[in-house]
Amino acid sequence: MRIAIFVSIIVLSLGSFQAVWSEQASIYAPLDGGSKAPVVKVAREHEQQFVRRGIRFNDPELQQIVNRVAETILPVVADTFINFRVYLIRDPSPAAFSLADGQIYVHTGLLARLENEAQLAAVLAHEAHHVAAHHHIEADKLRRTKGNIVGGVATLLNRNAREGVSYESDGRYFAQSVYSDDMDFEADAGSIALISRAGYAPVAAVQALQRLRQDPELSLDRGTASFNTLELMAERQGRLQELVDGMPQQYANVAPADARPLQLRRVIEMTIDDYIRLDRPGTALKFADSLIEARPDAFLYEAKGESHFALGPRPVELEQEFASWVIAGKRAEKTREEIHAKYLALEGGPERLAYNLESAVTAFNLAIELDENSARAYRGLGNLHYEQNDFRQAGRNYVKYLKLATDSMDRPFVLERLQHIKIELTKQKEAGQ
Amino acid sequence: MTKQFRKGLWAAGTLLMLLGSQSALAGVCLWGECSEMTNEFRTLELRPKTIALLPARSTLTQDGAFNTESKVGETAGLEDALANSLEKEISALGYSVRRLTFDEIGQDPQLSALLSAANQRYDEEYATIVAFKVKGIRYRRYSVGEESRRLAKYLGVDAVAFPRMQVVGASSGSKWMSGLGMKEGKAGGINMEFGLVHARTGDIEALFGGVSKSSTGTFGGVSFKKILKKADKYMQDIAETSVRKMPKVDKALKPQKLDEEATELVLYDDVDEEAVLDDLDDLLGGE
Repeated sequence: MRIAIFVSIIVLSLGSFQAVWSEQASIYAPLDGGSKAPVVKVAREHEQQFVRRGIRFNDPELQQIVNRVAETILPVVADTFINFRVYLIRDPSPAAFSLADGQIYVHTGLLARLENEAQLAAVLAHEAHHVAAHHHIEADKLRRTKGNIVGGVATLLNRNAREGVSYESDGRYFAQSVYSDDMDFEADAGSIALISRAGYAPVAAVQALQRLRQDPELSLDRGTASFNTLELMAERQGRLQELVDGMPQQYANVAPADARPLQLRRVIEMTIDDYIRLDRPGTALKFADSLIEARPDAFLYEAKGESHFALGPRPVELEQEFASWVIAGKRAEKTREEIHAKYLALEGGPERLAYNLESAVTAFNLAIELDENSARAYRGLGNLHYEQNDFRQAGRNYVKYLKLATDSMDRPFVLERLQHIKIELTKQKEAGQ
Repeated sequence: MTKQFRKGLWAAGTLLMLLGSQSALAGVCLWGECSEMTNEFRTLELRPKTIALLPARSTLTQDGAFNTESKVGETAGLEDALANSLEKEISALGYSVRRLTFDEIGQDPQLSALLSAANQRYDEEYATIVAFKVKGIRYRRYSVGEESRRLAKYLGVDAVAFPRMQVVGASSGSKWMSGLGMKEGKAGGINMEFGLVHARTGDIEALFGGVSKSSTGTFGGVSFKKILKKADKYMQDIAETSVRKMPKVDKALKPQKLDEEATELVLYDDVDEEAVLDDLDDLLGGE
């Protein structure tokens, strides 16, 4: 029913575009009765905590892009407790979320994936719709009442309702509102209306979902631990496509190319680095590979080399296995070094290690071929030879790295390794090797 | 029923409830104080003199009559009170403490990025420590790696302390329900642990912590309201408990027997860049 109403709104809004939108009228009804206080209070507390803990990622260039897109699509709402504002979070996963009072957060990993600003507009509009349609408040009411009989019955009747999950990232977490599937479908429909109004092609919403569905991270099977399953995303994409197909031609056919491209090099590098830092080299590698075909840049080969090196004896499908460990509560059983050792001891472990190291060398060399000043490639080769006790090669590459990256943060650590290399080479010299 | 019998029944009921209650706290130290150290920490070789005390990461939960609820707005006050007490207690043992404030971190984007990376890596190791073997610290099992070393170098300290606190407070409704036997008793309270990561190794060299005894008790422990009302008292108590087994800065402790596979540490002092590069030039020259 809600979807049907919203589709009507889309058609109406598009049909009388000037009349509806130029007056900045709100198509969202204000909150009618009920207590909004708890969830809005918690949203404000989260905002304070995010500021206090430095969870927001301050990057003026990226913030400017996000603000520019947001300004065009954010709806006018009658509720005084809603004040839309968009912030960034440094997190490699492709996600965005919102809180009841109008805060919208975008992960840097999402910016690295989306192709253009129209797709970003679609994601922001989806979140804005959740806020404007009071989905957080409804979800919170359901969560609060499910402990009693009435709530239990309500939960049973609403078979699609999912429970709240914790958003965990960077050691921080908070209870994220999780909506019913219907709310997500409705927000998708709402996003089309909002981006169409701003002049973006509605098909961008379908394309954004398509990109996320194919993403190496979101394509992992996380079982019941996931709140955005592949099946749900497929259904969302199918429904969105139907809505777009049913729209008047002049709106449905707006070319997505008119939106400015995203995928800035800095954001992609940041995302791949973050995956490797989080010990998720399989996802880093798949992500780098997915971009290299269209964009064979030196920095992507550097990232590919670092991902292969970080994989070591582990298979590229590692993350799927990790996801199943998380479901089984086994992820914390071993440290990173112990997991490496375990895979090395498995059948095929030494061969996988040799393959990954060889692939890393190839990728680093390709990066140097494309850009002779590729500092990270030299550091990568240095690390690789150092691990293999090839001190001469390690020394040469590290020295080149230090010459190219004069102000790098890891300079003291590379120098430590060079100190060790010096000792080893001196020993070799004395032994007449 | 005599008065004495009623008293006995009450005591037995309380005991049963205590024995049957599950701890809602999750951490290494679930009762009293606890500590783990590497041999090098014990024997002063890797005992830090200067420690950067990071802001505590805490989770606050109110155990209500029907469900539990995370508290967000109340964390700031408790975390600040904890930092004050910890700084005082660690300093009293002779360490020089460099306390980081959120304001300082907020004004320095580089520090913020370093801190975020180090916290993330620490939490990965901490999850293993909590879930499985805290004794692994003795055997240098847990490494926070370059992330923490970079942070320590940036701050100019020997080690970084990562405090993690958990507060589970009962609501009045929850206490009544527990008392009437209508709710599974969950023992609440405050526990806190801080790992010390050395700048030279990047390993967790020691972990100290404990449970504030004044915060535990029957029927779900102290109420959440009371903890917030007397935050300074409870935070002072938990800080005192957690450093009880922390050795003084200059006092060596008897080394523990380590397993035979414990790896030998290779440590370097700050490297003279010019000298190393000159020497390497000779060693690598002509190739």
